[in-house]
Amino acid sequence: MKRKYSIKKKLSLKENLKRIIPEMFDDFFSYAPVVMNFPLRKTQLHEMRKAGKPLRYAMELGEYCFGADFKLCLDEIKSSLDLMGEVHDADVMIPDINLHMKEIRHFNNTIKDSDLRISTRQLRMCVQKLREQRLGEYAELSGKLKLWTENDFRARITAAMNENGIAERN
Amino acid sequence: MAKAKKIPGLDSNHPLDESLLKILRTRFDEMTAHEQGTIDGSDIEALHDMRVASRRVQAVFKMFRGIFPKKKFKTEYNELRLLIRSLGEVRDHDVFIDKIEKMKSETVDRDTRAIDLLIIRKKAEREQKRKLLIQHINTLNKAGYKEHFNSFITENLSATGKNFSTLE
Repeated sequence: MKRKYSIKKKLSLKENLKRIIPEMFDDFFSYAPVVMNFPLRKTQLHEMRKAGKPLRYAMELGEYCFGADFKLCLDEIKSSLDLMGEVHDADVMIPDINLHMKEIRHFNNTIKDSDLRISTRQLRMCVQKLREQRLGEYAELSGKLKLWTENDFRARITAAMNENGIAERN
Repeated sequence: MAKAKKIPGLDSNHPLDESLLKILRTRFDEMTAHEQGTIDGSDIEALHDMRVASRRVQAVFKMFRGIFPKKKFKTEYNELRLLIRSLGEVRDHDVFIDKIEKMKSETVDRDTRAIDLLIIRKKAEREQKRKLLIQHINTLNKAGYKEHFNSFITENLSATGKNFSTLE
């Protein structure tokens, strides 16, 4: 809760969102250089995701204020957060499964009869699958962030907030 | 992720405090609407929806904290933050169990004992976290959290707040 955004009590929600959303985007995107270039920096990726959630919720409020292109920007943010979520889930699950596997192996070492030992094959397969999924999701995320950098996604959001017309909500 | 409920009567050009009152009331109602389902525990989506709605409330609080009196805001924000943390601890286990069960169903191996043991362990941990969460929710309810939250936002957002019709 450290960040204090530059709100103006006398302005409307719309005018305040125009001020806040770019600031929130900057907070969120400040992690991008590390996340894009260091696939295994789990903490930074998680921090980026955490900074992205409030941005997403702020942009959801922006749907009441801004037009169709803004909605498309929100969809982009949502899909990047979904990818980050999937990567994070794998980052949490893999060490946990590995630890469990280690415990099973310790247990197996105490059993003399090899038929009674518990197979860890399934767990290994899970870890392998999660790693493969993570790789694919990370590549997609990284590509998206690179594209945002090249195409100045921040400027697109700002421009979308200054357009006329409100996106149709269902 | 759960789609946010439409905020009735929200006009983005109206004064900020008026808009915030409508937003916070809608989101808080959305959050409490999933409380019973969360306590029942039969559908993991109820807890997820309650968590997402509560994070939407938290996001509005974070963005516009400058509008509230500092001390009172801190108390209110911390209550919410702790609730979100309790919800998150259960949700993390729900996600883990759901994913690992899906992986188990896709496997062709006969010996599933290792994965079964993992699921049993995670379910036991989840149950412990769920008990703590329910205790937390009950404590908040006994302390009149909902009423307190509603009066906090009404008192601090707009002089016309008291005339704003509730959504219930």
